[in-house]
Amino acid sequence: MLPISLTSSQQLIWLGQQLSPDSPLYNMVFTFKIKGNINEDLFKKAFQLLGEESDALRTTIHVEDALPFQQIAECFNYDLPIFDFSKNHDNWEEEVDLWLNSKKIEVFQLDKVTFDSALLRIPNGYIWYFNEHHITSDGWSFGVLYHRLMELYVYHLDHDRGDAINSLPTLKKYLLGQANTNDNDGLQLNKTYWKEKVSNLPDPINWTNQIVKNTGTKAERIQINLGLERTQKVKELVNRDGFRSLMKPVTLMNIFSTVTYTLIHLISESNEVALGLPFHNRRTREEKASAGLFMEMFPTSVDISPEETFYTLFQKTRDETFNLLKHAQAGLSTAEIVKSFQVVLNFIPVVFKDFDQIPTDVNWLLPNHIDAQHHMKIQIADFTASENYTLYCDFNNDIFPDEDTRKYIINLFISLLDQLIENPSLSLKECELLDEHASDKILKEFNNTDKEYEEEGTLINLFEKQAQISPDIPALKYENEVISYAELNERSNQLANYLEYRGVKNGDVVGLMLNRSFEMVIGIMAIQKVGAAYLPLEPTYPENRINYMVRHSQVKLIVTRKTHLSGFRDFIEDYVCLKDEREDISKQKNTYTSDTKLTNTAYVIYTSGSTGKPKGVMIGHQAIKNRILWMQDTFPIDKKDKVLQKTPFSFDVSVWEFIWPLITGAQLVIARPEGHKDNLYLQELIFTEGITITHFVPSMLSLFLRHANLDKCNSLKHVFSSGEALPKAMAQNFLNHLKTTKLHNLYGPTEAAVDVTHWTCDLSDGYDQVPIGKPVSNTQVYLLNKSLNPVPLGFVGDLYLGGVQLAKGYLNNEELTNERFIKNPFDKSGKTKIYRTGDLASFNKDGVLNYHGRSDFQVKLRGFRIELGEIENVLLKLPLVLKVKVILVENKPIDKKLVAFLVVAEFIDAAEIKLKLSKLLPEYMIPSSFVPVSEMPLTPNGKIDMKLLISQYEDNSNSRNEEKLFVAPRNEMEEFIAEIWVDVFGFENISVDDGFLELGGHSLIAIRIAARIREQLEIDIPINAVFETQTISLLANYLEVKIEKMLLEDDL
Amino acid sequence: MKNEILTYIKETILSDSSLELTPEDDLLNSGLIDSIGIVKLVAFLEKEFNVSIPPEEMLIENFVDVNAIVEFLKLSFPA
Repeated sequence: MLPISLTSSQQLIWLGQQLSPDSPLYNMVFTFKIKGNINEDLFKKAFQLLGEESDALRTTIHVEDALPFQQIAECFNYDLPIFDFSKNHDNWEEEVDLWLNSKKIEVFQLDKVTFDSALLRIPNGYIWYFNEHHITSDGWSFGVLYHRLMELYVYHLDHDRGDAINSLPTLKKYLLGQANTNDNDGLQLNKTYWKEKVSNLPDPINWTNQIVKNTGTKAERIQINLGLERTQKVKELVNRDGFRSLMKPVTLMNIFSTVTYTLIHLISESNEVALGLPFHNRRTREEKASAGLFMEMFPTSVDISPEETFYTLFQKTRDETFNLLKHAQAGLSTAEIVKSFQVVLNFIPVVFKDFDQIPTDVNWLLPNHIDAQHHMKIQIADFTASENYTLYCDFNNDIFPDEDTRKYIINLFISLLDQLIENPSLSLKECELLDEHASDKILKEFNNTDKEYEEEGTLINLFEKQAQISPDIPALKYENEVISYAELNERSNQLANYLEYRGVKNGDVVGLMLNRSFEMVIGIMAIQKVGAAYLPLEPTYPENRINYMVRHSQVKLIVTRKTHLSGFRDFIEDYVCLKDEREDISKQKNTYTSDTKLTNTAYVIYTSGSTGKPKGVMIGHQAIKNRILWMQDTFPIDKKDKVLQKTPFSFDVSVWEFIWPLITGAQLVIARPEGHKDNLYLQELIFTEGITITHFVPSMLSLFLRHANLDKCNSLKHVFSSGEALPKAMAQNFLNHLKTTKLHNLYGPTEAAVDVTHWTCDLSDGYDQVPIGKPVSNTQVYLLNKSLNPVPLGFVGDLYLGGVQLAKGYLNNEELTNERFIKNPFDKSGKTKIYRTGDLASFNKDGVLNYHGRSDFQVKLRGFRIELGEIENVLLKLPLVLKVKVILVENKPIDKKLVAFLVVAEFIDAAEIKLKLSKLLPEYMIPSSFVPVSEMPLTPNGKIDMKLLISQYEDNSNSRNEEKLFVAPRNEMEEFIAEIWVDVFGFENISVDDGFLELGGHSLIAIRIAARIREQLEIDIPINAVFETQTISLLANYLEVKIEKMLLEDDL
Repeated sequence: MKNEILTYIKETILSDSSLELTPEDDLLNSGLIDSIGIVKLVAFLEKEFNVSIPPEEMLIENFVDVNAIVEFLKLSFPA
């Protein structure tokens, strides 16, 4: 048997199979259900004759020296098995499905056989099952073999019909011709065309904005009939002027391409769109009559302009298809070309006639896997010429894990096709991402939070009312001191009168600089009673920050204690010293009639954004009232409850801690200053006081869970968590230990009255991460794309908030207010605003929100969305790493790379870090440089100075680039590998630091390296290890670790 | 012109010079020439007769047989 090289398309298939050796991704599985009687013996005979004629069926694939080749056997002996499913009349279909489902995913041993087939007896007919590996077949090939099998069968049944003479042409001529492709000018020209095409294709598509790590081959198929009417309409369009052309199948392909381009454009919001198309590549009549793999794939791409209509896009598509046909040439499709696009569209014009005039159904089965590099394959066919197209759409499971997303995309495809048929001159801008039903669901149903609260007045009025209802019960407790509701109200009234006396008016801002104490609560109440807004000023804050807040907010005066004033006196002009002026205050009347309106500002809290100066968020009484009443309505508390006040009052969570208990008759237990950082103190306090309600930021909750004796804390009814993402494992740990306590995850920016969404954690909810839940009352959540259109279910969008809880804006900063609080595009009255949070989130089908991080901490690199914090977290888990900052350094727009700056306890080799990271992160998330720094440089307000870090890095790398050194192998293992590399690359002087890809490495070379290692060391390594380690030195390291591990295992 | 086109179709597109092909033979509906063949043929016509054929002119009636092609070329590109 003559060994024949693989054609280039066979090589691609072989490589793909090597990269996923256990995946049946290339099984092409067809079933032909013949609904009538056939002669079994003759069918078997016909199949035998078919195999004798078809080179493809006698082909096997072998490997020598890591190089694949094929052999075509002289003889064919295949006893087509027959399985009987006809006895079971009731559920033979289920049994057949079961059988087929297990058969279709069997992985071929290509050196033995490249196809599988059987005849199944079913009631009143047969199913012919035929499964070929893609390495010897394509769609066209199936048509050829089916029809030849039928001819042979018919001929032997009845010599007057059928045809025994026109045997299938031999494949060898094509295979050998391909192996020595003639080198002419046209070929070079076409090669250049594809090289340029690939280099100009857009970044990989980001479908749902979710962060996708590695893609495997697992796939799901959605199969759907387009229907007689729609099929008819598409066919009419093909004949319409402007659309019609020489070849109907090409025009059809162009129509479906236009729809697919539009789909990708709308979802990704990208104006450059690429699409892979198959090219059947059968040129001569002989080739057209041949079975085997001829098909190759090439990319097409379009630039979509803002004025684009379906028709203008169709014209661009037609020109692109023409370009493809012009430049596609056998043997030109390479691994680089095939992985340059993510979506494949295939219009398959193959038709299988009825078998010997017996009605025959055709089905094409997916082996549950597709090529890992393709996100989606859209295939359209009408195998039985039923005038009803079937859409076979295959989705990569890692890209589209959610069934609803897959269905959504199919529905969008069909809807776009309908819109194109209906009105080809429709502008793409008019195409909706969501139909009315879906958009109603997302915009209205999920946001149906309307709720009217009966309570009148402000929260201050509600507190005063409570003080009348229960004057004598304790309102506040601090250490061993207690004051009653009546006393709290009276002392607040006195301070309110005094503040008025000191000139404070409705609408002013009054600073409050105190430690946690009764006075703090009295101050909060008194300032609000006057109709002023309180501004928390932590006495521990640095001077320049206090200075900034005091000046920027133009405070009327500051309520404080003398001890806090030292250091700030230079710029604090007017203040009330509670201790010094105690007598004056206590002389005031202990009644006060508050004139505070719901439109007044209740408090101003300064937050520091990721950039720029701190900004003062103004929250109105209406907003905070809604938030507190929602909480009381959802988790009612009363005088039996005790709420722990431990959150610093500059953090807005403290607002509900202060106010909620005091409008319900519950008791507020105040933790001592700095006590919120002491877990044992907190545990003691919860236990001795019998606290029922408390709040934890997740990082504090984690410490609490680790250190506290949780059995003692069973008085807790509700624990609220917010401020950071709540990890699932922590929630589980919590619920496992505190069985009678409910844990709630809340979410909200300072700009929307503390919290706007909530979720009660449940061990059995089946979610991968703890959701941030659903919006609170009178609150709307919108997840929007860049054009402010809602994103579909399951897709990640920018989170915008609407409703009564929105802040009134930023104090004395109209510009920023107008930038972040924009007109609500979903309110026709045009009166309301929505706030852009800068957070990313997605809805699930029940309207539950999931959090996906900050949009400003995410960067895009080579089309991948990367969260830098995620890389930092992984690095921090490595031993010896103390501090980390990962930055995307951008020299030129095209030259971007991830650089990690590290403070380490002792020297760590960058190569070692890389190797460790390669086990924890996908390749594109691994920084390309690691820069040790002695300390993180800080900006004046305490944040890491990224500009300084980047400039240090640039100086450093400029001097380094000039002297890239050759590093010779330093140990035996490196020497061993260097020898292999020199062999397979074919040149000397490879430095142990040289990158595999930079040297021109590709899959085939990786396979040869892996094979050499297997031969000489008897160690199996995955081909991906070569890609992942990248250098001789890291590969050596990898192997040493592997060998060590094997030795250890042997010892055991 | 006719003969040049017939020869090109037989020898280059179909790789079969012994084939009997007349100017009246249907090239498209018979499946004799497919999309790849058409693209080759267009490239040949453009080069050989120094014309430029835009995609919207690539219609069945202009390419259905060799007679039609010659007619189309004469009409669209009068010498």
